[in-house]
Amino acid sequence: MAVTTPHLPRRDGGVLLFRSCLVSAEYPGIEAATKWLFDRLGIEYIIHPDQSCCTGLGYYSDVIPFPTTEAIAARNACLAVECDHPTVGYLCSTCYAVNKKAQHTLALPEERAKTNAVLARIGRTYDDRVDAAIRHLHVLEIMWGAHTSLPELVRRRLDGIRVATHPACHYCKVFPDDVTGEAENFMLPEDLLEPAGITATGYYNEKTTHCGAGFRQRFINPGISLAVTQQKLRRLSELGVDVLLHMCPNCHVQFDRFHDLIAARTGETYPFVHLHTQQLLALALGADPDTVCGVATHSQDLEPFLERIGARPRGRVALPVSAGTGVHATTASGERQEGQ
Amino acid sequence: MRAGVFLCECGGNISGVLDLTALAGVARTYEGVVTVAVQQFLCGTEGRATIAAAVEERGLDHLVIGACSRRFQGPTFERLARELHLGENAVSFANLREGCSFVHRDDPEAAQAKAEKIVGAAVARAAFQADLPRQRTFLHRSALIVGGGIAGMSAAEELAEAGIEVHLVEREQSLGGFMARLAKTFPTEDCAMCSLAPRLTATATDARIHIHTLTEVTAISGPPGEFRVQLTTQPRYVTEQCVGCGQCAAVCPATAPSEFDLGMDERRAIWRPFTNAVPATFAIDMSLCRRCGACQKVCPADAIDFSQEEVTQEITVGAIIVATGHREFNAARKIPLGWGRFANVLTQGQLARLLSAAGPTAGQLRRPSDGAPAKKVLMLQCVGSRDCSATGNEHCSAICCLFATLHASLIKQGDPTAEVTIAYTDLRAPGKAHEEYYRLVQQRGVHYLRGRTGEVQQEADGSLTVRLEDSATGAKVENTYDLVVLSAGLEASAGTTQIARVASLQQDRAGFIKEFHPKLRPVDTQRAGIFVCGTAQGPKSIPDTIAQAKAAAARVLALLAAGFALTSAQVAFSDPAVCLGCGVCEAVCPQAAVHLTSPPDAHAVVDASVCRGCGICAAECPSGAIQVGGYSDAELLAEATV
Amino acid sequence: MSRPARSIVAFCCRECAYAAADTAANARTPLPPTIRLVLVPCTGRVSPLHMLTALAEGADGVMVAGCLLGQCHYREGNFHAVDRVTFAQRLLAAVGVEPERIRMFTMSAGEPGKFVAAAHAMDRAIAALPPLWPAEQDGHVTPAACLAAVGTDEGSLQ
Repeated sequence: MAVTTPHLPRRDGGVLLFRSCLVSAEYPGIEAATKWLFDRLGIEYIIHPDQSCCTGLGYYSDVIPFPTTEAIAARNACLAVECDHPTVGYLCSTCYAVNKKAQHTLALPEERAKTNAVLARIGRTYDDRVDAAIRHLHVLEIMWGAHTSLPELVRRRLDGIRVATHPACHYCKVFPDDVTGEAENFMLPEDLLEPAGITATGYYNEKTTHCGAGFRQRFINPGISLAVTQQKLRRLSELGVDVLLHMCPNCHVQFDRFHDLIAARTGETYPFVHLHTQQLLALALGADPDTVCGVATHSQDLEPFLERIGARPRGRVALPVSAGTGVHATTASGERQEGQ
Repeated sequence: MRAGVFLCECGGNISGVLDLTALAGVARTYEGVVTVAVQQFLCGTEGRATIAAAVEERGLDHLVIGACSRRFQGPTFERLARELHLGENAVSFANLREGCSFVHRDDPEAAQAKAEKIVGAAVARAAFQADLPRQRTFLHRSALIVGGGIAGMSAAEELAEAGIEVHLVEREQSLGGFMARLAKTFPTEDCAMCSLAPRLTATATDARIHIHTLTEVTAISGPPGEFRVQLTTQPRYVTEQCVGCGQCAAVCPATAPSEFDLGMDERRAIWRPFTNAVPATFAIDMSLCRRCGACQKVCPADAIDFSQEEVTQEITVGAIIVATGHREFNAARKIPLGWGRFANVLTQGQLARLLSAAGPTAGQLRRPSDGAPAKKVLMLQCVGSRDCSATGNEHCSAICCLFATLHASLIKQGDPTAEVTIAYTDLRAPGKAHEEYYRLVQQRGVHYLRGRTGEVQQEADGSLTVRLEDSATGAKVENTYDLVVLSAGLEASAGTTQIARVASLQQDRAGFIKEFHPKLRPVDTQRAGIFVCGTAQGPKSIPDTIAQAKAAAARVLALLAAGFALTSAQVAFSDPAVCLGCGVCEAVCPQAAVHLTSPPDAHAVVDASVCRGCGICAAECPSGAIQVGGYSDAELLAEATV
Repeated sequence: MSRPARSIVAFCCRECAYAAADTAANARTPLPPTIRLVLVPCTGRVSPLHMLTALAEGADGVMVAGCLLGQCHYREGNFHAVDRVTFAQRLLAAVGVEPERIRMFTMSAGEPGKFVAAAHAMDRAIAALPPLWPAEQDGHVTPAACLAAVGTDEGSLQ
């Protein structure tokens, strides 16, 4: 399939990798795989030890009021600029959207004044200098700037795998004009996989439909929430995909945690699994599924998929799914290996 | 200099911000000013009378007009100066409205000070404004019309009737344009070809209209009245001996989707788009032809000629009309709607072919995927129009609401049990009898639903599932249809972009040709002598297209009526006494209007009929020998250094 | 007005910049009063002579506003203007005058917003600089005095 995403300049040095609460709590492998890929693509980054949760999840669930989220976003932006890494790379599309939104509202003098009154208490100011320097990007966009290095790094051939991608609403629909590529047909994840030798399905029925999570809808209106998720699962199984790739941990949670539940309730089968784009890409580049991709934290059984792609060589001991064994793994020869 | 300064109140637009009495007092003190007057509407009859009287009584030789921007009423006062025998360059302008009162309403003190400077600049300039010579040029009583659709043919009809020789140039192999593809037209449900065919016949048989098909305009040079146009004609490979029997097409082995049928049918390498094509001669698409010679063997008229080649010719015409039409928005850009991916998703243009009695299905509405009758049809409006995203056009395409209504009506009449739904954003029916037609079609049972969809989904059997919100009730509506028809909007055709490039015409954001001024000169372009009409200028209905085409023809007749014209006064002129003969002007002129005479004593000479007065040469000239009429160094410096 | 009035001369091409200015004005968009427009058929008509003479005769800044590059109504005029503006800026720098006193802007007739932005940008930039010619007081020189000193008078500045 022809690559359609426009070229982005390479962006290393000055990248702050923004940690996500949902990634850290649910799928730490997303962060591990991203860092692993950054290292191999030569993308320099730091993680700021004082970065706080963006509170996007709370704000979009109507639990945290916007002035709080806005002040926290301003603080995090100040941190990024202070440590001279003003290009913020988000692992979570919710973080991306809420921080961008805060930047827009902080352009209004009243909002900025109000926020700075709060920041004054911690000796910081969100001013024009911070505003001009800060850049909000999804980590996929940062990797896209370095995608030409991918082909020579591929270690596992995944050409037989049918891959579809789920475009995160908070990346594509909140700021459609800033999307790298087309908001209505977002192809960046597919195009990122192309140089790694992975074919993607392109557009499919229900591609632009949301995951069903709706932040708190998943809790207060589970019927509607899961009905939407089911609609996507059904259409994707008609397509015959092997894996659906995600770019937001909210979607990943919605799909991975409820896929088997929905199947059990409806009696339908959806024979595919869920991974994050970075996890699959890392697997293609030879990463360890346990120590780098953190497959242990997934609810779905990923073993058949991992075996199929040769990520479980014969004789290797796999981590049991519910073991909670932390980040250490045992190789076939019995050596303990440190996780990354 | 004996200058009169005339200040216009502009009905309060200027006098509401500036104290014109005080300004008049200051203007009186400027050197060379003999009289100052304040008028309520300087451009009106009273204003003209005041100026004429002042010229007569005070012996004025210059007019300084303190009013609106000269781009607005400049020609009015220049014409007045000519009528008062003051000469071409006797007027200077102080832009007190757009240049002052409109934009400094919040600072009248600063506006007043600036107004004094603006008037002072115009007075200073006037002192250097000398009378300018003009030359006569001959106006050829002929016109070039680029585009052979309904717009081009309507304009051709007017011009031919008035005795003008018309060269009608069409890049396709037949006249007819988009209208030839339509089944019926709204709001009358007239058969499109029935309205078009008489026009085609009349055009073909009019001795004054010279038709050039498979032809493009590849170069234009020269001034209005004497445009030198290069036409490049592609070979047809079929001679005029062709009787149009079609036996060649029957034996031709090569097939391709038909462009005329918008992909709804196939054609052969040797083909004719439709039966009433003008000319009726077939043509061979050499990129598809296998050179098997089967056509040549069966042709009873021996009309196949593989030796034909591209031909270039030059013609001279007095005026040009651009009537290059439009094309449908490429719906493939809206990937979620499935056009180009799903067989049963069509555009209205494609549906027109299916509904056309002379079309690929003889007017029977069938699903392209399997030929089954289409019983449930959904039409989606505003595809690619009113769309601010990167993949759409911002403008409204004006006719899609009625186009969909028309087709929905035809479907219901063809099959009263069919279900047709039009999912619209706003139902726009502004034209004559359009609203009445819309109501009528609703009564025929077409369902109008105000809602938009994000996606069209294809089921295994080729039918299409679409989820909409009915915004009137808030209800979610999800249905499966046999056919989804996209009302893909209008955008500029490839021919429009091509002629805009060749003729240096301005295009607007969507690519349509920019008219000179929407009210003052709606069918002129920025280039004198070149006019525009039809959907090349913007989306519009057929009646509006025809009316605009007749307006463009009227403009051509106005231009050519006198038989000769005077060259513009605003052209370059070189003083041989000062000219060094360095040749820089000749090198930089983009119009090739300046040439050096032969040595000895080589000096620059400007062809006033070609020069467009840009002044690049004058700015480059090291000796100041070459100046532009009305924009000499003296005039510009006087104005800039007040 | 708290700051001394500046004077900016704007050479605007008839096809695009002047048209954009007219359109902005018709929408009653407020503009800084420091800017006065001079109509030229094309920015290709404007030479360093015009730009520098305007500055020499009292302007604090000169704008040259024309069509978008590649869309000049006379094909190449604005490309020439860009070259000449650059040349004039270098001349200014060579004699110790801020080169940003002369600036070129491009826009289409359908972009009045660009004209407005250009006007405000130029006005702000010139306001931030000291007046080009000091006021005639305390023995400071005036342009006329400078010209007299080098043996040139205004009459020969044609």
